[in-house]
Amino acid sequence: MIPRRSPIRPATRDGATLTCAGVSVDFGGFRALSDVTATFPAGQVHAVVGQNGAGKTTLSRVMAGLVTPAAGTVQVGDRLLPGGNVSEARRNGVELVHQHFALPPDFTVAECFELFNGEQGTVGAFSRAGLTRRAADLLAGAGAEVAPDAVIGRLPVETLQAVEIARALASCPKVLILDEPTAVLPPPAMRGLFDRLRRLAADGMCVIVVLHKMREVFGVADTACALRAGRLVLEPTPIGELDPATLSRAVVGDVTVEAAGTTPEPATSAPVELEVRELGARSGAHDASAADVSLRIRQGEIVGVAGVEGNGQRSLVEAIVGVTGVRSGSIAIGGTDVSAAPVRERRARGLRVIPFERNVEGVSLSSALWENHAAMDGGRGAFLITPQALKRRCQEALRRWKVSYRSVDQQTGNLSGGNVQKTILAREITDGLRVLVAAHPTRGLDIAAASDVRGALVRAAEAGAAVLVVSADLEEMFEVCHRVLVMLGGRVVATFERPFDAEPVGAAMVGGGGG
Amino acid sequence: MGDFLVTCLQAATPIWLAALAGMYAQRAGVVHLGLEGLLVSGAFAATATAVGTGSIVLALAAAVAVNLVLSALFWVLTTYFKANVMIVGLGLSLTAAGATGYALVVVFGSEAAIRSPIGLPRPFDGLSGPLAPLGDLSIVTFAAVVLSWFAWWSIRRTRAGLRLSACGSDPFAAKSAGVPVERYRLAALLIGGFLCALAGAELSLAQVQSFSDGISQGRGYLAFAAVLLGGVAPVGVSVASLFFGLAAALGIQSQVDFNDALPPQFVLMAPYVVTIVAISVTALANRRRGRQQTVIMERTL
Amino acid sequence: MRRLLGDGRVAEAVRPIVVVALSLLLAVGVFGLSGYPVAGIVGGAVEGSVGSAAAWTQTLRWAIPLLIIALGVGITFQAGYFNVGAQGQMYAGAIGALAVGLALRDGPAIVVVPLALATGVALGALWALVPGVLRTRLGADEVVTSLMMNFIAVLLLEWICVGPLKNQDGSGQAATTDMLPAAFRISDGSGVSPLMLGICAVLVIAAVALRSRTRMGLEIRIVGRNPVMAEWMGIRSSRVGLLVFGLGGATAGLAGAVEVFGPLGSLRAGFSPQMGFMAVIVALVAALGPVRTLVAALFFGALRAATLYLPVVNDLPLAGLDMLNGMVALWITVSAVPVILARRAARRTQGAATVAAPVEKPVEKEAVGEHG
Repeated sequence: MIPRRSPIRPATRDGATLTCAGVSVDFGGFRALSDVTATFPAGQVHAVVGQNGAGKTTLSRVMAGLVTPAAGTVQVGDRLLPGGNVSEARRNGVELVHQHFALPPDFTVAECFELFNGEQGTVGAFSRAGLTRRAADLLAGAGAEVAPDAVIGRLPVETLQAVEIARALASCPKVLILDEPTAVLPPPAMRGLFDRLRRLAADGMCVIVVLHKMREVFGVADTACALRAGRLVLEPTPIGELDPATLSRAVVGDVTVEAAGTTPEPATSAPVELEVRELGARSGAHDASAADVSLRIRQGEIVGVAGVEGNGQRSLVEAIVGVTGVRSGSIAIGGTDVSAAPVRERRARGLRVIPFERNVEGVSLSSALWENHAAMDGGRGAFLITPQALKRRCQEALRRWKVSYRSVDQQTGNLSGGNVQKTILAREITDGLRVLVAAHPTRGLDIAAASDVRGALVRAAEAGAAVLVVSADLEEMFEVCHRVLVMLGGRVVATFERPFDAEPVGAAMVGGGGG
Repeated sequence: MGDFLVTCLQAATPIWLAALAGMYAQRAGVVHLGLEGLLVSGAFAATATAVGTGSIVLALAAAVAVNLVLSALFWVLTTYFKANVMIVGLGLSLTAAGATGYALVVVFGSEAAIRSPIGLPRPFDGLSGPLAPLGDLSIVTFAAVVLSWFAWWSIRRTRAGLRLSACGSDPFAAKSAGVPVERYRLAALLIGGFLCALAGAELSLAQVQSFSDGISQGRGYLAFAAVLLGGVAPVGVSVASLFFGLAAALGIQSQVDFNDALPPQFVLMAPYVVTIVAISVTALANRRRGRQQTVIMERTL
Repeated sequence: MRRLLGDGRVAEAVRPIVVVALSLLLAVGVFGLSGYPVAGIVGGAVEGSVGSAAAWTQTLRWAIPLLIIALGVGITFQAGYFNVGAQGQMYAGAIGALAVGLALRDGPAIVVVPLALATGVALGALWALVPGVLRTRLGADEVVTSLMMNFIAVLLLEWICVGPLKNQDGSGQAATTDMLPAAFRISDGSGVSPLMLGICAVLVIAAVALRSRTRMGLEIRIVGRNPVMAEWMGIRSSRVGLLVFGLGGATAGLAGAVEVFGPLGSLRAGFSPQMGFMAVIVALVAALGPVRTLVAALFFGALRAATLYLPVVNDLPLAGLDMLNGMVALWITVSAVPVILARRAARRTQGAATVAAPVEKPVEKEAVGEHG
């Protein structure tokens, strides 16, 4: 399917082996990668797996020359790449397909292709017709159905990925790296992508793909390696020598998760605290619209929403919180309709939130700890405040949640991710709590912190709150939830009760039947 | 009528060139509030050199040299020292206004104005017939026409222009394509410095042939408005600048034509009001279209 | 607003002083190089700003409007809005106050003056709410709209001075308006009076209280630092935005009203042309804190007094002050030095188990880019 002859560069069908030797990356004081050594031979599909925050994206960016390693080297074939030089990496045939795409939103598809081609330092005059023709050739060659003059910012996510892959293939790379390409794809498109990657590898290219689902790894890869907390814990190993359990253990670590399923079942007579009826809502371009979503959560009940990211979870959560408008249907907290109520009023009724991205929606990193803590007043705050009292309140809460910090006046950004998450819990899980919405509550946390957070969710439910957990981590949901719903394409496609079985839930997540 | 069009063009030229400068900067991702300062410094350097040497070529060269240095300073402060772009821009404008006012007194001993013995050449001077008004236009006005075509060509028809635009539209994408973003920003600012030097020379050496304190009267800020009004696109920016020129010419004309009926101040307000309305409508349209606003992690002002 | 200051507390306190001192040195160097006696200039500057009672009066006369405007600018900036329209808002306030004062020129001062000042406040706020509403409701860039509103105000003032409120029996040289009745003036020509100082004191106290004793102050800071998080917390950032635009405009309007009822007595086209931008610089030098704004306003007021005095003794041109202000603006947001200090501090505390969160480090943002 790849063009035998690229109109922009002569085709080189030979791939090349990519080798990382002792690669380490520091971000400020944070070691994102340490001493990663791995060889990815040409002609194969290599999966890089790991949890969020394990360093997968950083590693792919080091290989593509976007991040300068503090130590170590990257070699393509027999050429040593200078660290942190994208042009050199691309000249040597390394192309990276980004998870969230690197396509300027106000460019047309054809302009994007032109941007990524040609030597630096040249003026590169072109004609409109030539531009469109070249782009059309490339798109046709890559099997992407999109007009060359379509504007990037108005294209749907799947099309963007097709454009980005066509863009990467345009230079006939020897090494193609894809950073979590499946996160944005519906299941049928995923199948097509995997077939495509296999063909490219068969043609001799070195394909490296970042994944975090076992099913995908075993569906596409020839070898798999695993990263955990910045270290390569499993060297690229032929897939035949691996089984899902081994790989999972490498990804998660050998820590045995605390005894699961300890949350007592809520009484069936307990009143419904959160009720969502036939909800329709849309958060933005990166998530499916929630359509016709209904769910009821009783006091003391924990309900999970599983699904591949981008299937409407964000639309659902944002509509419940009140930062995105309700298009149709209704939301009730404690029996009162809040569909049109502002965030503040919902919070006053006992809604609490652990948001998706703690550093964006959860805290202000440049504010003091006490300011973040006091940001939520649950709607009962007076006009006047006493900083000393607020600081004391914050101190007590942080101590209760065992946050390690120096002073409540310190900037929140100086804390580790786990501690930041705990400051959010300390703020949100308070006396007035009736409904707790937790989105990816343990994402990027180490095992100990994650287990603390899960314990907090269970305790909140035991204390009588209705808890909604949105997560991509099935194990976590099976551990804490009473019920698990699966969202696909913005709809709830399946509901599962205890005892849970990973097989049917996973199948429902990718549209392979429901329970 | 011909006279009026010429007045429009004359009024538009400095704004036009400065707006093209602002467009290059904005395309590269730099909000350029220093245009006003570069206009003033260009005008002063050109006039002072014209007075000192009597050479129009040297005058233009001096204006360009001064503006290139100031533009490079702008880049160094915002890139290496991470200073706030907008405040540095305003600072540049204030410094230039103050420094030229100061130099006016110190070097020329006059607080009012310095007169230049020479002006910019007028290529069509001496024409007769219906084309006679063209004779009043300086060479810089004709240069502006050519340069605005060049701006269009360089942005829309060259890969270098695409790379420059990528730096402003999506710096991460630009970096991924191997574009040295900061260097492109420097290039955009230097081009801007050059264009503002011409604009400044037009301001002081075209019709009035003198430099006085406060000569720019906020035209640099108007140029900045034209950049946004024109949608940061070469053609749009040129049209917006010409519109500002038209409004200014109407303001002059209205003083002559109907002194009492409509105060000229209200005519002169028109471009500002139109700018506000147009920018609001554009913002509203973008919001309706649901264009994703870039997520600002933490504001860094 | 963090980057204005960097992270270290010491750096935060020291930087504005260093920046201002370096700019002063540079300016004095330029003055010296262009042939003015440096000692004479420095002596003259001290004499003209704090050397006598009259000098102090001059200093206060310029510090008062700067302080009033800068307090409001500081609040607007804290919420993350770059409103550069203080000049126009000041003009709007001055015009409104003057119009009321002249229309009711036969009324009792005790009624007319407060009414006129209130009109000035209201008009200033309205002038600022135009960009404010356009920004918070439509997302229109407030820098451009507030700049445009400045130009409109300049023209409006010009029209007032040559049109409806023109002083008919004036010398006809510069366009000015009629004088306010003497009974309405809140100060004499010196521009300083106990009443005006009282207004300033009340404003500083109010700004301190707003910042550290009210929920609104807290919300303003949070909106300024992370508007997305503010929305998730139930803080309506658009409402906070309107409030800060209104407050900024109100103070600028008040400053205009105080100018016209205090030192000026009548309006002249284009009076105090750099006041708005100077107030921005004062607010930035003060790192947006109210008490520090008081100190900074006094300092820049003193500079202004000195530069008005220097031409008298040394023939030094007034434009030197604009140059100096501009230089301060050029360097004041430079943050490379504090970044280095912060990095050193981070290295020191690394043993204390507080590993920095990766996203917050500017270094990483640089390296990984927007999507990281």
